[in-house]
Amino acid sequence: MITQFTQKVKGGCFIAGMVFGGFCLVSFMCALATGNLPALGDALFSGAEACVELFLTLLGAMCLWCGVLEVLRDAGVIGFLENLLSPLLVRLFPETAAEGGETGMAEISASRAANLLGIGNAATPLGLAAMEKLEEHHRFRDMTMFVVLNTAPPALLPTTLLSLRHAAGSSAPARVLPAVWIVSMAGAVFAVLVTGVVCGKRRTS
Amino acid sequence: MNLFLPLLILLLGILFLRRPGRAAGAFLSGAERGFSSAVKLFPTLLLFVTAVALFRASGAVELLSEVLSPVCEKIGVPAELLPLLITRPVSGSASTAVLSDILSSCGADSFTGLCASVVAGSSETVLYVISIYCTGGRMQKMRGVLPAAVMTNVFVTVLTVWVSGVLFK
Repeated sequence: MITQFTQKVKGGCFIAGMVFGGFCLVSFMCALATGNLPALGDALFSGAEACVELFLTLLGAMCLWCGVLEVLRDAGVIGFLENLLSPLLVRLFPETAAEGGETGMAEISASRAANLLGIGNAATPLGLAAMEKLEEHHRFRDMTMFVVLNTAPPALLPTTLLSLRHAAGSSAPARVLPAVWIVSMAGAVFAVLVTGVVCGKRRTS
Repeated sequence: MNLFLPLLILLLGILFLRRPGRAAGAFLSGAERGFSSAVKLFPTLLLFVTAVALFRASGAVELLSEVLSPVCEKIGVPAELLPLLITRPVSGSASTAVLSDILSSCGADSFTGLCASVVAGSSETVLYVISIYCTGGRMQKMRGVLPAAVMTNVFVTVLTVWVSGVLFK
């Protein structure tokens, strides 16, 4: 039994392991220092519970948006979107653009479009679909670029932020928008540059 | 609020009615693929969400804020921002709670409040994004992700404080 199990253990989860281990250690130390040790045990269970909730939300969104994507692709709407975004996407994802066809550009375009339009609920499922396609074709440079772009803020109109500021009694909730836009833009540009440096220049094939 | 979604629904209605069989077939095959990739995601998601829950329950945010606040004051960052800067990359819901706390205690139009708003509006929950996109063995093949994401996050934070200083002071 045990040997069977060890044979099935997945490799290549090094960073996930490091992150989890680090969080466990830091949490234990801090709980020891602040006297929160009993709360730590409860958090283990409430964390698992919160994850199930998050997963169910995500499951619904994944099914819905992957279905919608397929309908739109079949009707040629995604092709139109791809052409619209292609000047940008060809530069960001050279490996995928070079190969063309059904190898992930449709998913990338749809996800980026949803991101720009502020439909975050759709952008994540579509992004996950894009990652699957890219992985099938072993395009790790493009995958890295895609993930880093997703960690940079998109937000043209951060609605949650505005409603929070309004609720807190701000006389001008939208006053922060120019700053948010400047920082978001610069952040996205920086993300692209850093990824280019980290991954090296585009592969010559 | 968002006009694109209603328009998309209208478009879907037209597409489905034009060729009902084909559209429904496409939808179902897409949804099926979505389902199986979501299920593959769950174990990794569990690992990260639990880590964040432990981190929040341990009081680490308060402790780190206290330790780091003298450093912050020295470089001109309001110390009240620290809890937000710590929680923002880690958890979306926690950082929203911290933000509304800062807005009500310091005032939404104070420098600290404005600065906090820009932080919240212009950064992502980096850990969540990475955990969800880099499941399984992917991380190993994408070694660039973590350093690039961390550098981007640091850059965005520094820029936020600087831009806020220029625009709001």
